[in-house]
Amino acid sequence: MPEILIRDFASKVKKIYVVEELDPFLEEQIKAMGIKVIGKEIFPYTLEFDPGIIKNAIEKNARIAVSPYKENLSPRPPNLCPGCPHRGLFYALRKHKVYVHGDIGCYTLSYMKPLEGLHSCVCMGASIGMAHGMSKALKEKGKGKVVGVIGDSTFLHSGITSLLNMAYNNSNALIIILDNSTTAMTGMQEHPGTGYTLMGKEAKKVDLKVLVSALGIENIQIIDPLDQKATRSAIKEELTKDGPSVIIAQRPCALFKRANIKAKPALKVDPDKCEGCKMCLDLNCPPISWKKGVTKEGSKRKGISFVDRTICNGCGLCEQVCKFGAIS
Amino acid sequence: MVENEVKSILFAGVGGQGILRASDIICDVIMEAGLDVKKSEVHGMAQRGGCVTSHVRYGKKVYSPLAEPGNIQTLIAFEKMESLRYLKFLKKDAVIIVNTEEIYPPAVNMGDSTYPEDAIAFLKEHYNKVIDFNAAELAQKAGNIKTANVVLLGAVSNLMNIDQSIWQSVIKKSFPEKLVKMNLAAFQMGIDA
Repeated sequence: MPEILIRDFASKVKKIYVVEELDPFLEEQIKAMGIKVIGKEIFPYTLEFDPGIIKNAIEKNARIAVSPYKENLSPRPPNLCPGCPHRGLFYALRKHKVYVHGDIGCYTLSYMKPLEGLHSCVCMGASIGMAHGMSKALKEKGKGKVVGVIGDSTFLHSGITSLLNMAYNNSNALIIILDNSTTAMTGMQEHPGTGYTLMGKEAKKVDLKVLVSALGIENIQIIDPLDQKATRSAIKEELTKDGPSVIIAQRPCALFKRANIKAKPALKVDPDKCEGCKMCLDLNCPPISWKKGVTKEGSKRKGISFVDRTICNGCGLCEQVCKFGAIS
Repeated sequence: MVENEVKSILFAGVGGQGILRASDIICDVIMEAGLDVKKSEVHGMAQRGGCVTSHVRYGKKVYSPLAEPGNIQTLIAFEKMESLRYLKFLKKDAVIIVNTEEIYPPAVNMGDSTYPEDAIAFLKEHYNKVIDFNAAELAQKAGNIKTANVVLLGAVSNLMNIDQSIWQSVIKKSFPEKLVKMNLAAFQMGIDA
């Protein structure tokens, strides 16, 4: 803290407000210097501040503008991108009716409807420890029901020790490492598994399978999460095994430039074949929408799915999910 | 302009529509015109289809990059439903430019929520000047649906007292050469919309 600067400033003004989001970090430090300030007694601990919130806190009875629109607007939460490999993994996982401990990364976005892929999310690295603990607590009852998911960079950051513990103390949970070759959520930072340092220099690249094996895990499979059949059968197989298992779901992030992913041709829905069952909507893929009113003679359908071809990257998940062969 | 009057523009839409790019371009235009400008925006969720907003404030001297509720003169809504989400920020006599394209959020697709089909009628009932057109269709005509953001900038340029030559030169600098012609065509479509 620049104490001299702060004292100098304080000596020149009559009243000081400390406007801080979340905790009163600066406020407490400045108060500790013996300088009188106004802070959290009027400003909220929550919310992202805008001038309206600040005005409201300082001026009692300030008149803050309200929206004339009074209906509830449907929220628009962020979503996994078109072509995201995590979507395939979570779609396969939800078929198995397991309890999934989540972690911090893009895949945390899968907690929302309709994927509803996570049931807990605490902090970086928590998934493995939580899954291990739950598996231990439930004993036989938890067998084949407890899963932890963690990204490659989060695993290398703070998952290794818990996985070592899991192997050492032997529980039945299944851990899935979502290896998208980068740190996607925060902007493609390098990590020990990418082969480059943060400065862009070539570096030692850790082999996840060798690392997991060295920790003492014997059941390890590597799968491509966009291959639904292989993913589902790997999950099923590992859930039934005794002892800890690890599945490494390997497929680079769809936005990762270095992976040089060539987008495949966008898919489209055949309006003659689509039965309007909404099965593809469960993928929560941004290009897929459903519009009512498009009926078909001799069918009960009330509407039809559409693929917005301008944002579809052709990953082919919806093609695998459609039971009527209507998407290709 | 009144001595140091600060004007505010709110960009609102869905991640992936080029909202932040459009607000970058408008800031460059305002700077080229010799005014002070500040902006603040939602990051991170942008590529992931969530709500995205950007506040742009300009004038002789700007202090806060964020506008106070009830103080924004211009709303540029990149999607029909998103035009309704931030109305508390608008002045009563605000001008609204809205792309009538509809992008359904997941809850609407699943049938858990409805889409406000009557959005434009509502806006017209409450605000004097609502400029509505399908920017996506115009962008398609210009050559690529992704230029819808520049179409909307064309429509905004009609409302701002900044020389067209400044807009054009900034657009030229903002895109790789092979995309310039298409974006200038999109910009013109917005002016004429």
